[in-house]
Amino acid sequence: MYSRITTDLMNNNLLQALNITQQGQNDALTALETQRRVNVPSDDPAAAALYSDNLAANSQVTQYLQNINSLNGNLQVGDAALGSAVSLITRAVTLGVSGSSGTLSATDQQALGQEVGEIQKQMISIANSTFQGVSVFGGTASGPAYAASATSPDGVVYQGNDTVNQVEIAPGAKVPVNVPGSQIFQNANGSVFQALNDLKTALDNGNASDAQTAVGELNQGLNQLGQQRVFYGSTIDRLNTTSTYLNNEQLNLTQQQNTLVGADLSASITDLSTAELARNAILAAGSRINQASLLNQPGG
Amino acid sequence: MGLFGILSIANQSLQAQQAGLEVSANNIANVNTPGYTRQVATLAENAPAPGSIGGGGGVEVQQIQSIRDSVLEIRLNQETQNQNKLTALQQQLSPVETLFGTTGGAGLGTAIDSFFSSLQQLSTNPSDGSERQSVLTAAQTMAQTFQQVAQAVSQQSSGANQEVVQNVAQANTLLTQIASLNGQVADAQNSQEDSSELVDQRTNLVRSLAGIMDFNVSDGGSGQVTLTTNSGAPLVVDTVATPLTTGNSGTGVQDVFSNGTDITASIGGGSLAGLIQARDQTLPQLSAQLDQLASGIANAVNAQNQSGFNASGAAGGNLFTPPPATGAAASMALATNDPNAIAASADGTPGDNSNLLAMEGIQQQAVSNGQTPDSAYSNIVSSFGSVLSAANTQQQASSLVLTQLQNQRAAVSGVSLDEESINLDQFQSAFQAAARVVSVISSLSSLAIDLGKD
Repeated sequence: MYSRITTDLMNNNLLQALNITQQGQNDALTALETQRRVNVPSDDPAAAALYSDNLAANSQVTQYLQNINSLNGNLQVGDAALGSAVSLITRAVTLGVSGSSGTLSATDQQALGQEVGEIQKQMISIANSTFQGVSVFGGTASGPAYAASATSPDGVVYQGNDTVNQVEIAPGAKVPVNVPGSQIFQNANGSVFQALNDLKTALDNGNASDAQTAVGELNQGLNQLGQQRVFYGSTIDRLNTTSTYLNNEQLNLTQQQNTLVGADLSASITDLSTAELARNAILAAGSRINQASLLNQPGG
Repeated sequence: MGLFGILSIANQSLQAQQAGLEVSANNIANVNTPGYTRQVATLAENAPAPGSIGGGGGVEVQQIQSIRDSVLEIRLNQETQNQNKLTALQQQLSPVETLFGTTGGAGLGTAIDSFFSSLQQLSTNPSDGSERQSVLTAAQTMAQTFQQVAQAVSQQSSGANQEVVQNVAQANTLLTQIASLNGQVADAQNSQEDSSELVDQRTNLVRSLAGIMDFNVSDGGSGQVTLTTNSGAPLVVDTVATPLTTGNSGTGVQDVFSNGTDITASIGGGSLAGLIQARDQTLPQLSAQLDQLASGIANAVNAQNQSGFNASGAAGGNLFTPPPATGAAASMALATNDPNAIAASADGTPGDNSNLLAMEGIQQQAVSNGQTPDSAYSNIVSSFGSVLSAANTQQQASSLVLTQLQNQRAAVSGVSLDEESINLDQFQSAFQAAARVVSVISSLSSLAIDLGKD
């Protein structure tokens, strides 16, 4: 309430009212344009900080998903290789059983021995499977995991190591990327390479009894390989579960972003219309107040 | 009283009404003049002439008075100081704030996250050359982003420093003008002349000075004002202006001196206060936080890299150049451009990723003032945003208060065209009536002169 209403006073009020409505229009327009309620930290410092945390969390989740993808490829190669290894061992067992029946001639047994020799080579090739140029059964060592060796009792030399790399797939959760070849193919409780080499030697020598023993070794090797292969299956399952969880997490984080800094578009449009209406009303009022003065009256 | 006495009264009335018309005309002419204070012609009744039988002695213009409220003027000065301080602070901080905007910004947070993501990616295939290169590229991007943000902050700070010098120069010009007007007002008052226009001019200059700095105003006598700083140092006394000076007092920035005393810290209002707050407090604090984060990350990554083995199996070295004690963010750079220098392995086997896992772990470790890199970054965003948000809110409030005060001033000192229209009518009628009196007396005088004829 003022004692006197003067031209300056009305102009001040008019200008301030116009400024306020224009600010309202500008805020609503910015929100519509960027579709964000928070464009700079000062718009809402707490929300901006949470948004920054959210972006960091989102970036980590994205990276975990990429890690899982990459790891999945590696494990799939390993699992497929072990699948082939199982087929090869099964074939070798069949050959061993034939060779140990005592009904085959020495020549026939040698022919079987030759086939086992081929299986041995294929097994080395399987044990040297790579993913993105890195041997999947070589531990953390580079280069092929296995090489054939005539002097070695099991016919191969393991060039890898027993260390296993781990990769983070969720906050604080790390999984091994593979199992070293020494555990899969040369396990102390059943060595696949030792069994194959023993079978080949027995068949080459026409020794049915040794061939039978070697079949037993092969079954132990197969058993061990199967046990080690469980790691691949269960880890792939774990990756799938984690991946589902991370995808949900990512969805939540993205929705949270919208809640934190996103604009309520319908509210912004309403704000814009309200500000426009208010501005038009003020403009209309402004054009009237400055017209009416005693000086403008006839005889004034 | 004779006829001529009456004629004299009519004459006084004509002069008084004319003065009123002049004042109204001047008020109407200055209706839009900023800082104009409306004037009122104060009329007073004259004492009857000695020996007069009856009636009064006519009218006289006692004074032409400017209607101003000195307390309101002081409040306006104070609020202008507050408003301009906050506006200057906003202007200095807003450009920096966009570096941390949610719609892109400079992407420092993203750059930090990308660096740690690249380490994660490398951990899936530690001997892969292209992944190693990606880590170096991400590290380079992070270092460059730190540099860009730190440089933008330091440029804003040096811009504020230059503005301090310019503001002081403007303040000195105003001080000289106010001192000069002090002299003119005193002269006018001593010679009984109207000093309203001069006082209005000086009030405007004082208000402009309030836009730059805070000060105390007191009455200096003879219509003069005395301006002193908060600490009591003279700015304008009588017709003498004591200019402020700027100089480097060892802080690396231009401090403000009055009579040789550093008054920088005591300036609490006006654009100078906002500039000084941005330059000496908010921006340096932001720089320090950025430096702390940059050196925290660089030191932690370097230490971890040194505890591992590079792709050749040799002990790892620094990935980042060791950060200096100050300016770590502005000088953050890679110490190597060899992708094989990344010490992924903990045991010397090139394919091992154990040391890399430990390096990734830095993202979850307290490396900057007890905070993880991400938390430290969001803390920077939140603390800087809070300063500016508070300034925005206070500025809006101050703006409302200032408009309210300006309205109050307009109510007291502003020109109302309706009021002036009525005044014009009143003075016009009175002038016409006085003229009629002159006409009547003139006719009566003629009659009296003609009495003796024939």
